[in-house]
This record gives sequence, C-alpha cells and structure tokens, in this order.
Amino acid sequence: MELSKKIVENVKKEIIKKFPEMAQVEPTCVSKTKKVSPELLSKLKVSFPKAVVGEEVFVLSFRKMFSTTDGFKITKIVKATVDRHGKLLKTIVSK
Amino acid sequence: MKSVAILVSNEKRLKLKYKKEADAILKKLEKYKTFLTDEAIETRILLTKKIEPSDIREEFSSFEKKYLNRKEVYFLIIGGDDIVPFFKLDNPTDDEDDFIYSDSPYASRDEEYSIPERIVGRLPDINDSEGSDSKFFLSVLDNFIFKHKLKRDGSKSFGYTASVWKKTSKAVYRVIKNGEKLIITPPVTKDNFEKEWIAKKRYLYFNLHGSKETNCWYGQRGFGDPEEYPYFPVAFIPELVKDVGSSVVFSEACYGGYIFGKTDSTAISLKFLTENSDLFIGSSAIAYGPIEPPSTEADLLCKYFFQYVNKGLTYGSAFLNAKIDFAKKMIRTQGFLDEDDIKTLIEFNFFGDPTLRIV
Repeated sequence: MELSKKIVENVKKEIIKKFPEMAQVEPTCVSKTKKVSPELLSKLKVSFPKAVVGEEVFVLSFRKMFSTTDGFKITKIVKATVDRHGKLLKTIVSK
Repeated sequence: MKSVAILVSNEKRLKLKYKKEADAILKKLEKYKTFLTDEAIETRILLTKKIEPSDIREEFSSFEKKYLNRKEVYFLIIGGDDIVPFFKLDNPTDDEDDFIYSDSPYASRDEEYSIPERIVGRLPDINDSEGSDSKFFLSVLDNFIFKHKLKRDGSKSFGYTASVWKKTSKAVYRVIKNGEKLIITPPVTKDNFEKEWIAKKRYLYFNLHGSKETNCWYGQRGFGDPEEYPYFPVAFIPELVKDVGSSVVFSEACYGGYIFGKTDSTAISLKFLTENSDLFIGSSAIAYGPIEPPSTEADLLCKYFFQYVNKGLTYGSAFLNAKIDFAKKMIRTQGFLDEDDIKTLIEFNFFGDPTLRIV
C-alpha cells in the first residue's frame, strides 16, 4: 500500500511547522510492517503485543545539508512515522 | 559469590602493533588484574587468538560458563578495533551509515543482539594514520588501574545542549543528580565556553550535533532564538576537555563515540579517556532523538542509564539495564521496536571499566 498524496502533503505541513528549514525538501517514504520476534520478547520477558503486530506504518524521511560555522557539512535527517490514516506516531531528528 | 571480571585482549595483535612496547601493555594487564582482585573482584585475563568477532564471542560464552553462579560477570575488552575488533553490523535504518561498529553482540548470547545479557566495556587504544601510540594506551590503562582506589570527584553535574533541543534535554537532565544549569548553544560556543564548567563534575551530559569528519560537536539555533545567533556553531572541541576528574560522560551526538582512525586530538571521546574520565558512552553512527518530550531514542537510553547509575549500580550494569528498559518501554509504547530503536541499542558503545560505580 502507498500513502495518498494528500496524506503526504499533510505530513509535510506538520513537519514544516516544526522544521521550517525543511520547506523545500521532498521526503522519501518507506512502508514498514510492525513486527517483533518471539525470541526478542522472550529475552525481554514481555508478553506478545498482538493488537499492533502486522499493522503497516510509513516512515517519511526529510534530508537537508547544512554548513557549520567551521565550514563542514552536516546532513540533518528528520523522520516522521505515520499510520495508514496519516496519524503522526513519532518524529525524530538526527543529532 | 564474588563478581568476576574478564580482561580480554589479543597478545599477538598487541605485539604486531606495539612491537617491544607490547610487553609493557601486557604487564599493565597483570597489574590491572591484581588491583581488581584487591577490590574483591575475581579477575581473569583472556588473551584470545581469534580474529573474527563471532569467534571471540564464542570464547566469551565458553569462559562465562565457568562463572554462571556469580553475582555479576564483567567483560572488559582491552584495545581498539585492530586488537579486539568491533562487530560491523548492518545498519537497520534508512540513513547514510553503511554499517554500525558495535560491541552489542559481545553482550548477547544469541542473535537478538540488540538486547544485552552480559556486561561488556572496552578500553580502546588509538590507531591513526600516523601509526600507533603506546603512550596513549599505557596512560589510559594506568588511569583505570588506579580508579578503584580513587575518591570520586565532585557531586555536581554538567549538561550542554543545542538550543533547538533544550526542552528534550531538560527532560533528560532532570534525572541527573545535582545538575547545575543546563548550558545552551548558541549563545555559548567553543569560544566562550568556560573550562571550569566541566572541571571535577560527577556526570557530564552532552546533547549536541556531531560528525565523523571533524573533531567538534556542534550546537543549533532554536526556535525563537535571535537571528544573529549562528545556525550550527562549533560548541565543543577536544581542547576544552581538561581536569574532568573521574566523570561519567554520556554524549548523544552523532558519531560521539566514533574512534576509528582517530586520536585524542581528533576525537572528544578519546580525549575524555586520557583526561581520566571514568566512562564515555557515545554513538559510533548517526544517532536520533525526539524534537520534544517524551524522551525516545538516544535521550531515553541516556535517561535510563543515569537513573541506574544514581541507584548505585555499576556503570556496566546500569548500561545493560538501561538498554533493556529502553526496549521494554518502546515495545509498550509502539508495540514493536522500530529500526531506529534497534539502531540506538546497537550504536552506543561503552568505553570504560564496567565494574566501577559511584560510591
């Protein structure tokens, strides 16, 4: 499944509100399926989260290069994870 | 039953790298063993002949079986990537890192290596293009040999954050004991940074940008900051690391723990070790954090680590427990560990003696 253009545009608007410097950036979009291995859960001694496993989520990545005051380039990456309805689940940024 | 520490190195590789001076390093290992034994930690030296990380990990497992009834078993790797190599793990997430240098698989008995079961630390040496410097390694080993006898300096803590992350940094810093005012960059930069801020502090917390191409960490202008503030100022450089005593340092910077081909003048992490810090935790790759609380990714791992150190756990045990709590929390919140969570778990490495603790 792909995210609709409308949802992508809404996510872009949300991200630009928080990161105006990403205004001209076209994000890449990758779909992921929520999964967790039984071995990992058993190692952590936590129960299987049945309700969410198998759901599809989408990660939109925004990248832009910036110059530091000493002339180096740093790529800033902002990642927004949304569900298939476009609900923003998580936003993270590279350090 | 006593805790056990296993000092792991590779004699052949030490001799290949340091020639005659390798003997001095091997003597330091014996001395380290004596000092830890005096501290009631049964200590063994494992001089591996293996080269592949997966084979060395097998040796960890065999060695560990002898001590399963012990309270805690600590593995302390002595040397950098060309002595006891890091694992080079596939990058689980979509960014510019080709692979991740990680000690995480050494801390795991199975292939779910993002979740640790063993306590593993490393005292790295350096390996730059100009050759090997035994002075660095001997000095770091000497620092650590005597650390158990040292009274920990100071009770205050220091925090330094990019302005854009001040809210998220505050959420982390509030768990750090006796935190003084969080310093924000900009307006602070390397040029008006006061070295006394980090002198003889117990905990040092850094939430700055980093790059593997430079020896600096950077700030970032935040929302509402004056336009005349520089956007990405140089915030911190190795020359500022002086008189840091026996501090516990956690840096969330991208590549904050990237030491490959670096020295103590080109990597802040290594500079902290030569200046006698107890511990440096940092990332070997691009690290992530949230833009506002609640804490996730590097912020959350750091927060949990300091909470456990405050409780009096050894640094190694605090790091292990922080990773487990991080994974549990993200599964509770999201229902799974996403790729960025897994990257966070495997990219942060522990440079220091895991048997130490704040007394």
